[in-house]
Amino acid sequence: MEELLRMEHITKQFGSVYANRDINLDVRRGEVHTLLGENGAGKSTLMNVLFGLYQPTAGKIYLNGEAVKIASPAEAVKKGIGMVHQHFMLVEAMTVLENIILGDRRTTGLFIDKEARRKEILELAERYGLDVELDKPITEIAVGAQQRVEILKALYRGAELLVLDEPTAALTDIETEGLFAIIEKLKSENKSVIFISHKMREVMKISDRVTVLRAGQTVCTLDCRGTDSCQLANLMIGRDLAPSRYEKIETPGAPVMELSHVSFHKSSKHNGLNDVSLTVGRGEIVGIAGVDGNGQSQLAQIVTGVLTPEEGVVDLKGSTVARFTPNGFILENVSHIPEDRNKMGLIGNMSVQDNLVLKSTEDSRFSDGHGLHLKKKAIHDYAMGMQEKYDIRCESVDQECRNLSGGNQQKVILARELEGDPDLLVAVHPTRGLDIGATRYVHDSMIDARARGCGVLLISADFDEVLEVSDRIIVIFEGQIMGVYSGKNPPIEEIGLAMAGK
Amino acid sequence: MKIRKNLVSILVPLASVLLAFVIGAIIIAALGSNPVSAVGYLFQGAFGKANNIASTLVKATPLIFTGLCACFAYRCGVFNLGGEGQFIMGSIATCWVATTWGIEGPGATLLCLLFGAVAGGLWGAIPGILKITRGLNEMIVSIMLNYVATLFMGLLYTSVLREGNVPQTAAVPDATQLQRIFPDLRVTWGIIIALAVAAVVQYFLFSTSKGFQLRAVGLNMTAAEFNGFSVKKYILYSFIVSGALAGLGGSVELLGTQYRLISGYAVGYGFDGVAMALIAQLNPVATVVVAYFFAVLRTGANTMQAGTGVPTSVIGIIQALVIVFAVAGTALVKLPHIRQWLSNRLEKKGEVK
Amino acid sequence: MDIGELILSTVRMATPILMVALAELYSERAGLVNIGLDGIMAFGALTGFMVSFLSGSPFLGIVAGACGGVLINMIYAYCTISLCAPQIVYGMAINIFAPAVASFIYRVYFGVSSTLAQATLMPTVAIPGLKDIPFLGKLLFDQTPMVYFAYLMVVFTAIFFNRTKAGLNYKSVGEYPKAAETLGINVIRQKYVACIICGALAGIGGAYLTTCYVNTYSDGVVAGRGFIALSAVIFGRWSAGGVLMACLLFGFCDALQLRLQIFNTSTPYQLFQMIPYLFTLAALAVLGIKKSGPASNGKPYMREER
Repeated sequence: MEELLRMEHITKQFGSVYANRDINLDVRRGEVHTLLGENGAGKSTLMNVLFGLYQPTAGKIYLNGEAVKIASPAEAVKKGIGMVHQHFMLVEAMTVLENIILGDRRTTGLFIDKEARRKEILELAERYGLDVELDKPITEIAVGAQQRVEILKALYRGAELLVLDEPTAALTDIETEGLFAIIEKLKSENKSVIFISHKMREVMKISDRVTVLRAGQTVCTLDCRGTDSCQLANLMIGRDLAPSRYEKIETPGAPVMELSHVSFHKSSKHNGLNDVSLTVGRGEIVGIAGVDGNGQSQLAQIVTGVLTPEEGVVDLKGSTVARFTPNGFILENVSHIPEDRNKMGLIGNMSVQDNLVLKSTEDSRFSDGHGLHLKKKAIHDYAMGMQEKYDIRCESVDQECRNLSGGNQQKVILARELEGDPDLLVAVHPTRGLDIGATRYVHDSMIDARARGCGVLLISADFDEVLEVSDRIIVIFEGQIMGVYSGKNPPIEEIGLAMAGK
Repeated sequence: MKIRKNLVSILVPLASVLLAFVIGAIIIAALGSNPVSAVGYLFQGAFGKANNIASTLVKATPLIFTGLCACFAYRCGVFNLGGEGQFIMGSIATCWVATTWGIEGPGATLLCLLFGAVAGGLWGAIPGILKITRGLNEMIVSIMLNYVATLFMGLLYTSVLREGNVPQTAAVPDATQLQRIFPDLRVTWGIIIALAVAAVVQYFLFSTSKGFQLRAVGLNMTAAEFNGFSVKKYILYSFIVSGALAGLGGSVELLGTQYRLISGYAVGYGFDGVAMALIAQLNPVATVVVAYFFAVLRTGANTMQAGTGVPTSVIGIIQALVIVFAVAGTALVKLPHIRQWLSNRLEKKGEVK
Repeated sequence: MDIGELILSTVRMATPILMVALAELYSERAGLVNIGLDGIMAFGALTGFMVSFLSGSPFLGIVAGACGGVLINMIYAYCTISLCAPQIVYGMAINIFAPAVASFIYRVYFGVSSTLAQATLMPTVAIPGLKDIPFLGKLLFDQTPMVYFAYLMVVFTAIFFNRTKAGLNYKSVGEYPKAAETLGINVIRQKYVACIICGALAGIGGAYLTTCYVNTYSDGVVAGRGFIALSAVIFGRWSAGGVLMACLLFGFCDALQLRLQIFNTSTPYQLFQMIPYLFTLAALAVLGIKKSGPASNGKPYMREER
């Protein structure tokens, strides 16, 4: 098969962070080529470079053997590259037909010639088995149909190479089958597809070759027939794991939090929870492992009172929660390290000291008369103490939090959340974006909290992290619990497959 | 770091004022007058005699209130563009109490002030309620309510509360009016009330727990929610308080300066207030300073016109330019690449890693 | 009360609001909420009046009004599109700035105490044939050309947004700029174009006031019509036809209150003046703002955002 696309030594830097580092990828005509990798492995960045949304810091792109420069999405489209983004680029207020012909410059004339276009599009749809209702507004059609519209949009613009970014993420099983049929059809018409996914089963089923990315770099490119899902899972997760530095506890204390049959948006596979039951005991760390976007956010927000479950019961320290409010959980001594520290955890435009006392300004330590007069000196002294204790590196505690590095921001949150001696700590992706030193600090802090009798629910997409600190590991996939494993000598391959939905 | 950051937030308005004055000077020169002497007359008009200073303070009083009104709501992250309507509703309530209840004296004054604040607060609650229950844009709603309030006031002075042939209401009885601080000068206790209220707002925002939480809500609603603050309550309360501040301002204006409702009452005060709060970077004390500065421009303008023949409306342009530059400047320093550049320049030492 | 007079007056009152509401429609369809309409109108009113006064041609006045409007709106455009300044705040700044400039220019040119400068009003042009329709002919087809222009603009706008490719692309910028960008539409340029159209139409709306409605300029001649136009866009659910209906309704209220004022009846005319605002508030409260209108309205568009 002849080569259609070759990306050589692609590097993309954001500030000092490398999102892509020396990545190589080649795609042949008429093949389905999968990009496999964990979240943050650099898949989306690479595709955005290909589609002209980002300019690479270094590296070259060849199309049909010719070096090309892709400066904008419009140019990418002109060169026959079509992209179906994970978040569809569809104008909801418009109909399917209007979305497909939007921005089309192939025909002159002022007016929209709907009938001629309709005929053309229907022919195309027929050819690839893309079943769409052209006159329905986008809001009225299902997600699977919206995806077909996106594919049709790309084909209508003459795409030879189609990039599908996590196309199955939002689809039901039947819709996924339909999509695969379409992909087969595209292949038979000699079109190429770049398929982005981290679901092993699908990858094995649909692709011809697989390129594995890890931490912004190419690991390898494999022929699908010569490999199996276990090998791929290992390559994706990578690294020969060093044994955990921490001692694992096998007999936890009394339950702090119990979830029984909790559901939230049951039918939606990717932002819902379906019949989840789990227990966190005193003095244990329960790690939730799973690929991002399988219901972790919803789980975290339910056990901190931000969301109210639609079904099921949450027991907190032996009594059932009646009303779900963040404040109610805070009063019950539940601490929360939220998944997005800048958006949910910190007030970036406030100082370090203000963020440290964010929840406790009415406390008599920090104010007189339940908050009538803030004791600024006391707050300052307290913050200095915390800066020392948690090793928060900043110019002064008056510095605005948004100017701190990620690790130090996380330490501010840790200091705030752990200082109250919580009964339950919910930590979501607590080390995302941190360097090794800071990561270790966060882990040590969780172990210390455990030693004090705090129950810890660790939700993380970083598999290493879950293995490192968890006493028990629960795997979540599409909002459901796939299995519970001991944290001591965990069956890594089995867990890896469970994470991929097998 | 904090000092440097404050430096930027002071430099933007200062540079805006400077730039506006430079353009103003060019315009004045183009008209054939000497800009330096024009500015001289301007300041002479504002500060030259004790009574000039007094009139400047009188002019500053309502502006301080509407500025604080805008400032308070912004601090909670919501835009109250309805200061004018709330100001007017406060005035209406005051006028109603003062002229139809048949009471007079200091007790009546206090009652009037209270009713003014309550009326403004209630009027301010409407956009707040519509925002938290129906998700409506508070800015559009509060602007619409300005016009409703203005027309309602018109309805009152042309029919219900009209006195005599001229479309205007009866005057506030002498004994209920806010008294002068010095018998010979026009300035009343109104300015003292304004300054006291500004001090209270400053204290509330920066020295109490509720004020702290309100600012937290204003800076990051999601994080505030995650940290246990009831965001919707804060939004509603901030609207009510913000409206009450404007309503109190209307009350003070009616009791201390205007005495009766009449066509053209309070026109533009609301937007002026928003503009001043923005120039003052949402700091209550700075808002007072900016309001005073605007009042200086306005009182000085007449003297300048008499002395040099430069029309007073050039002052309108200078004011407007300050606003245009200050808002653009604030947006400019927030742009990603400008921010990057600034922080490279200002925070070179940065954080010790 | 003469029904014919009332209809005539309704059409006249609705015209400037209609023009400006269309201006806002073009702006919001590209995702730019512009509350500076009052300011743009004021400036358009002044430039329109000045040119009409100096040249003796009200038509040149209208052209000047359009240019003046565009000029002022370019400040808004630069600050909101390129600097990403908050749109509402900047619209407000325009509302303070433009009238101040207009007032200043008028003072400087005509002096403070000179006698009232007056320009000739635009003559009405009867449309042959149509004007002979009994009753309605005299009312609807014996107006100034600007009235016809406004109503033609409604038809044009409806066709543009619903039938043309350019209109479809235009709308996508206000709905989902990122999607538009991936389809090769130049979002930034489209937004500037929107501001030019908006400035021109709002400027014409302002100039209408001083060339077709009254024959002189005075501060406050706009009298909040910009905000009524803003209401008309919301109330008209962001469609040309809806905007026309809303403007006619608001114009009718305006005409009615004027009649009431003239005849000095006991009905308080301010109640009728409140109707546009109350209607809009009620419509917003009942229908909710999110269910209609361009999806990315009011949001700044940063291209390189990661």
